[in-house]
Amino acid sequence: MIDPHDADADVDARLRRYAPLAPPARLRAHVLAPTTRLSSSRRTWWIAAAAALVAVTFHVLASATYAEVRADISRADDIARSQRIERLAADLGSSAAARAAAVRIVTFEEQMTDRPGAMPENGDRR
Amino acid sequence: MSRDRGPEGPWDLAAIYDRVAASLYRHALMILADPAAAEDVVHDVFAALAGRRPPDVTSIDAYLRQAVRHHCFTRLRRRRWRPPAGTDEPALLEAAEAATVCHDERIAIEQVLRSLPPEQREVVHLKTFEGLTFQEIADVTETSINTIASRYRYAIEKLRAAFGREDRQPAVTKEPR
Repeated sequence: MIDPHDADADVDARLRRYAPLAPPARLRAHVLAPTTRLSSSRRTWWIAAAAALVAVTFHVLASATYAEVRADISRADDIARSQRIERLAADLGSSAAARAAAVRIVTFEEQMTDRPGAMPENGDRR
Repeated sequence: MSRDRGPEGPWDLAAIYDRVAASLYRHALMILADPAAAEDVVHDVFAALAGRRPPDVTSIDAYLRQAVRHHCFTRLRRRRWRPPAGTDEPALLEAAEAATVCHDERIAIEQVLRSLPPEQREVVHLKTFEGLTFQEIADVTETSINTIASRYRYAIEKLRAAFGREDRQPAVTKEPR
């Protein structure tokens, strides 16, 4: 029967024929010149900074596009409003008083449209 | 206890590196079982030392060893990673001086070491390769001596079983030196 202590000694002796690898020579140069390689914490910092920069850039671009679209919609609304007033003023007689009445009507309709349910469309009153 | 800096001056990083880096690297290597990760850990620990005013410690060597251990186990926790066993993995061991060794035996030992939990691998390293006593290992790892002895026992049993299997196989390839 094998004595466990002898077996342990054999295992230990076998292990001692080896040694963990030594550090690579380049590591000393990297450690003593830290700027040659970024530490993991600094790598993490740069990744976070880059992600934040991308997010800010995307936000700025998206905001600019949104503002342009809003401006386009606003311009289109103004043109449609003017055309509507002109048509209504023509129907009412094309006088200055007719034009003023047309402006009031369109303004009133816009105010009613801004309050959902306040004025049924197409005169559909039930 | 000697200090590695003057009253106002920075650490003499080169002197510290030359004194302890090899031991720290091997310690990290045996915990992580990954040479590249061990290199990263040692680099980061020294970079932290170079980049800021060091803590007021009486033994910079002990401080660095604790820092390396902390980095290693933090890295293991974050990745939930265990080194896979296999012959394609990077080597962990090399022949000790004047030792006649064989390639197959080294591969077998490395496979068993990789299969061990990092804590057991660490104890084997500190006991066998660094020559520390169980009490010294307990002090380094801040663990009870009974736990250290148990970890060593489990690791040795696995290694013994692996050696038994290997002894029953005839093929032996001489290690290229």
